[in-house]
Amino acid sequence: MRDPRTKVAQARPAGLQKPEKIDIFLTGIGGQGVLLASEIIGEAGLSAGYDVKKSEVHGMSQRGGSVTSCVRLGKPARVRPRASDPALWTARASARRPPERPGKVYSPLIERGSADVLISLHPEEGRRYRGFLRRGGFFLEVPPDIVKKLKNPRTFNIVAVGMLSAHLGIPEKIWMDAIAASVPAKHLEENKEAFLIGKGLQARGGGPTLRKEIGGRKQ
Amino acid sequence: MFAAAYPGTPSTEILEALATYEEVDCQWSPNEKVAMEVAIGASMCGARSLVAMKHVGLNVASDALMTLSYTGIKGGLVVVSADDPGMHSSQNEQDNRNYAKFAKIPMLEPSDSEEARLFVRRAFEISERFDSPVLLRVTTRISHSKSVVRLGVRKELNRELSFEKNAAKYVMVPANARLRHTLVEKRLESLSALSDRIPINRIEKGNPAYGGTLGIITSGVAYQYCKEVAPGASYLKLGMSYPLPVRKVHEFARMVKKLVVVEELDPFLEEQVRAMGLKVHAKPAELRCGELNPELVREILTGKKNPASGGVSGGRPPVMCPGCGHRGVFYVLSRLKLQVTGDIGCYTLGALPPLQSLDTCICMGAAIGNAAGMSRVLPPEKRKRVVAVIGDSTFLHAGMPGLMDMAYNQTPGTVIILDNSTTAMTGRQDHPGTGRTLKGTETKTVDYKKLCLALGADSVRTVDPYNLEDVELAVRAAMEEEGLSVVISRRECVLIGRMRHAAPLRVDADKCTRCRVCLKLGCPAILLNEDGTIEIHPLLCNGCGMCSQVCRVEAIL
Repeated sequence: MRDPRTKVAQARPAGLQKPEKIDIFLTGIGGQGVLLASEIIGEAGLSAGYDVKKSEVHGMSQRGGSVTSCVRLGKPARVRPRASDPALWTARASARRPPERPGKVYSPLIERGSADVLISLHPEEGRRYRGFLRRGGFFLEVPPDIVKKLKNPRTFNIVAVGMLSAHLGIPEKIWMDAIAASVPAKHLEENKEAFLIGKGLQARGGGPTLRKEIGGRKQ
Repeated sequence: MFAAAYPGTPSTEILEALATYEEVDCQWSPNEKVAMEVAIGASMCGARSLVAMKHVGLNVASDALMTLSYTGIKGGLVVVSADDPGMHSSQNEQDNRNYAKFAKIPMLEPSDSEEARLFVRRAFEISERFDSPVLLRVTTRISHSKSVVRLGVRKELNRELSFEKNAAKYVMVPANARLRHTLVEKRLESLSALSDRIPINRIEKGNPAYGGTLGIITSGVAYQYCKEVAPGASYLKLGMSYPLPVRKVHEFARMVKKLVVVEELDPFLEEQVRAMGLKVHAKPAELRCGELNPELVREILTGKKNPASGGVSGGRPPVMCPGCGHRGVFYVLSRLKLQVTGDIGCYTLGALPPLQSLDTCICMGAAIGNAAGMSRVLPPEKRKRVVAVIGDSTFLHAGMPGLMDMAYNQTPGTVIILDNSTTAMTGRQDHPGTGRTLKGTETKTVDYKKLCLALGADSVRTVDPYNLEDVELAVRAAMEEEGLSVVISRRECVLIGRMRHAAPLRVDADKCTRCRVCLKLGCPAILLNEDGTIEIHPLLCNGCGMCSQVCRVEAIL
């Protein structure tokens, strides 16, 4: 077990582009490594100073069923208030900030229509969970062909982590450390490579893999 | 410190994680009742003990729990119940908070990882201070979520462990138990007072400008959903949710204009708050089914639906893995068109298409009892069509008494034990049939054949489910016998070691007649292309060869 306090204190590079709260919804099928990917994202978020909450459903999913995981990152200081239902506030209050602990992530689950990023490791599963994406959220789908470029096809999930990293502004070293903490040492290099391939996909201006979903869900 | 458990989603990881601490003595027990009894024994000697199980596991252990409430403990004893609202991987969604009330013991409900850490310590303290077992109740969203945890400072207790005779406390014969019951009722009163002053039951004053006049009474993960949806409201956050802090509830009710209870499953808090004579709003009755989420909590609090359109369409049911030995047995059972009483485990998936050859599933061990009951009442020609299937871990958990029942009552029938040498569905945990303990040491292994014969089976056959013909012959022969027959289908779970059985098979397109008989195996490695051709996925195929056995034209090699 790590001591999160030390981690929070250490990572604060200046000029880091760091949104205040990021909800990431991952989907795929059993055996693809959805949970490992979400684990790494959570680790990296924690190291970068976010409050992290992560949830997943497994059990039967190990048998090839649908696997989903939510990773929620909350910046530990100065945060935009999360849109909460105005009916719970009085009218004049809407301009002020609610007395919420800044950046603290409460729910381990992401609501439909509110994920900032939807990561899909499997086209069908990506379509099924599309409704979780907010308007204007990022839909990141790992291109199935990428498997040909990978030394080990099992590192497919790490490509997704690399793709996400291009949008979060968390330094690469933090990502690499998170990967090293989560995969067996003998597979570390091929995982790192898969991460860089994923990151490269996004760096080249997105291409066919990054579709910014204007309007989120098609009504 | 001692801990015991039987694996069950979503509780399994508790002992798996605890076992990584060398200094904690941990074990898998054959079932939850034994785990509880072993923990009680350790507690009686002064050791702090923890026992963990899924919600339905507590049913099995409840016999021990109900009287443990009377005897109390010596070393602190914490019972972790991991409930599964929404039934992600369970046969029912019973609300085990009712057990706290039923057994008259205190209950703590953490709402995130940090509280889980903190509350276990609190639970041990309460247990020892009030001479009571403590129920720590979590749900899937607590068990299967991670959040930031502070590391505490370890405090070694260094107790001298010994058992001191105390019949009035530990021997629950009626005369002693009557006296203990009065103590239980007194204990409940002191616990109620504790609930009012314990800091984990806290009032969070909201800001009146942001909806603070709305008062929400909640516990567990429901608290997190509420905070997400209504950060400005006032809260009575219950860390200790049984017994309820009566004074605090009244104080809270006076502070707010509108009082709402938000809880998953049963109206456990709601009914108690109503019984205090308070006017309280709560969720509609239909939300007593299934788990909550922020969206539903928003609906409960505002009466408005989430405008986001489109739910989650379709579904991807779990399937048996490529190369799973269960497939061979269920393929044969479906061909023979038998009535199959089933049980809890991966093989419950035999109920799904295309195999569709498992007809009942009630609880751990039920397959054998159910088959026995059918055999008792059905006429002989129909009785011959009934067969029970049960996994190795489930057989050791609760199947043995069923087999003994059949032998003792001379009930004829056939029982198939699906021995894959692990507790597969929960993620491959060891059990008395695997030869390994939770700590990874080698140990004695149950001999199923000897065991079944000792219980009174008339015959025991062992087959390899990869050989479909052998399975069929063995099942047919067993069912033709007059007495009680057992077939052991033995093939290690393919996920152990993740080794491929043989080179992946492929379809000879020239020979394939596209008859699709291979699809009846329900193997995820066999793909039906849009043009009607059949293909075997080279990465998924385990090389078990069942499909080449069912192929009529030898097109799979």
